[in-house]
Amino acid sequence: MTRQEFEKTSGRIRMKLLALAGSFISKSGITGDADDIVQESMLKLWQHVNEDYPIQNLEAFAVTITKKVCLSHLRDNGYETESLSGLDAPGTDSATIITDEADIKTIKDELYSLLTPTQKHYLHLRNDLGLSLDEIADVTGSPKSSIKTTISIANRLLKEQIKRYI
Amino acid sequence: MINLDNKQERLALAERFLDAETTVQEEQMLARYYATHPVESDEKEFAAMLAVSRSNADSSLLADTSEFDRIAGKPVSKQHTILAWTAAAAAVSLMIILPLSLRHKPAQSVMSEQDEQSIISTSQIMEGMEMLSKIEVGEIESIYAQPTGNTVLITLRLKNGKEKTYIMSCDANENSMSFIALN
Repeated sequence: MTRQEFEKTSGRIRMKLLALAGSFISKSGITGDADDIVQESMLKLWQHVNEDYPIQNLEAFAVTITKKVCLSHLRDNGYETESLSGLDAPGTDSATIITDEADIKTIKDELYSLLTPTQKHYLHLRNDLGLSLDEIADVTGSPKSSIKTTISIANRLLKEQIKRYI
Repeated sequence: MINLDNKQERLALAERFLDAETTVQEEQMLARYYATHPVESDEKEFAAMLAVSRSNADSSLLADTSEFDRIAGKPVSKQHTILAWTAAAAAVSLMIILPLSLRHKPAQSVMSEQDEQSIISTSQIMEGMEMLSKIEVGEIESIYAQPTGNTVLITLRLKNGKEKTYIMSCDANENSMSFIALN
């Protein structure tokens, strides 16, 4: 999607997103500005659209991202936060085995090179953006069952291949 | 409630993760568990795979949108669907109700089905006014709607003395409303 196409579509759906964010602000009681939330959502949207992932339904994607940004603002307003101080963290064996960020990035790049573009796209939407299967189906226009199968195959492949690094 | 200290429950949840059947919250629970507990030898692959999979996660986006719907009530898209059905069911009476309730009388001519569908209902106008009022939370003094054929001019008078006018139109086929800001 070109920047021009993005701007045209985002301009068309901006009012809907403002209404969505405005409604959330008034019902949740958080302090904030609908315009700021929509602006932040649009920026995130552009980042992910710009990564050449095929987005079938930009409006559905924009609505989902805006909802998530609204919830992020809600968390920032101190609602439903959870202290980590009471957690039991023995700290013996390394929990994630691979702890260095650079290592993780290298390993991820190597593992993801084994995946198809579609598998990578679905895992990005699922793991990086936290989209549900229904939301991925809305955004990509693919059947939910097909998305679920694709992610499952990719996850099992990653689990199998990561043995080399442990 | 899943007890992750119970290995059977933990492994079952891990299997569900692999099958893309977990919720965002369940995945966060799993990630947090493995990040704060010693990992048993038969779970190392999964724990590492989970850490790698989530390493680029945008933490500001990892909320479950069902929480949004719970707080904000019905999603806007569903409201529009209901409105569209209401508009379709009341298509005949709209021609009467609109002039009565909004002091605007459409031309007394034979209207095509497409024209009838494009008329904006009173409830849709109210919905549009409500949407615009939420955008300008706490700053509005009054709102005025003036139907103009297939569109409605909605003017918001703000407490600082300024006015903002929007052209509202509806697409019955797409169950959508659109607004164009004039100033």
